[in-house]
Amino acid sequence: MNKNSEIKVVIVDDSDFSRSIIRKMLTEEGIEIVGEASNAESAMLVIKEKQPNVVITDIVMPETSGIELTDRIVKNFDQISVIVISSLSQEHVVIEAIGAGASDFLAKPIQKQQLMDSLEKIINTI
Amino acid sequence: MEVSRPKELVILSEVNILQNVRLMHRNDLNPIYSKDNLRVQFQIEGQIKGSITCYLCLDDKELSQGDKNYLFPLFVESMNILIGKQISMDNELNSYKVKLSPPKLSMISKEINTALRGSTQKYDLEIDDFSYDVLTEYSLESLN
Repeated sequence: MNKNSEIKVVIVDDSDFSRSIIRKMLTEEGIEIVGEASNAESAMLVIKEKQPNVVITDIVMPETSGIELTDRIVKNFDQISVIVISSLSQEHVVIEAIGAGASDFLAKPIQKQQLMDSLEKIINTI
Repeated sequence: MEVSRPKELVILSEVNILQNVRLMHRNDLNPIYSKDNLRVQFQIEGQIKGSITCYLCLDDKELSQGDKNYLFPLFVESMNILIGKQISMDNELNSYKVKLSPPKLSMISKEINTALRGSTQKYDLEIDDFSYDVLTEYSLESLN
């Protein structure tokens, strides 16, 4: 059985365009997108309802950042892994993301192979 | 310290967003005059404060609503990636801890003449066979 079909993903980004790029990459690989959100508050509701294995979140979003969202997810859903993405990839940003509990950090523009490698590492731990 | 213009980075000469979309840096000295444009602004906070404004020049372009629905979000995300990379990869800017705001889009055109502006960088946003002039302006101040 293809391991990709076992994984359920929620995408969080305030940019429709960015979400559509990630959605396309994942669906091409047979990965199920169970929900999407454009801000952290909506994301928490979607995550609670859909119970994904993985959340992919941008950092820069209105009101609540992806770093804070990661912290909330890790504290409330210990079975969910978070991949943080951002156009800003300064060292302090990466450290903040990993410190909040992210499994991985990917710099935009997202390369499909990088995303799949990151997901594969997570799949292997499920 | 004034940070009016980040160094031009070779690595940023081409930013691929999708397979068919490229953002190319231009070194030409020809001024650009635009009175039909779309702009997106990012606020910078932290050890550097200020803003970065990006313009997509639409002069003499005939765009359908479908074209706009595709082009405008693509432009915003392209600028987000460009600005993030410039801050993260520039030796000077990268030494400052900064936060980038979500983009603020304005559909109201502003008259621009790059011959009158010293801190403007020029790019080509290339999508398939079409090319658009893109301008970026930095207004940043270090708090150190």
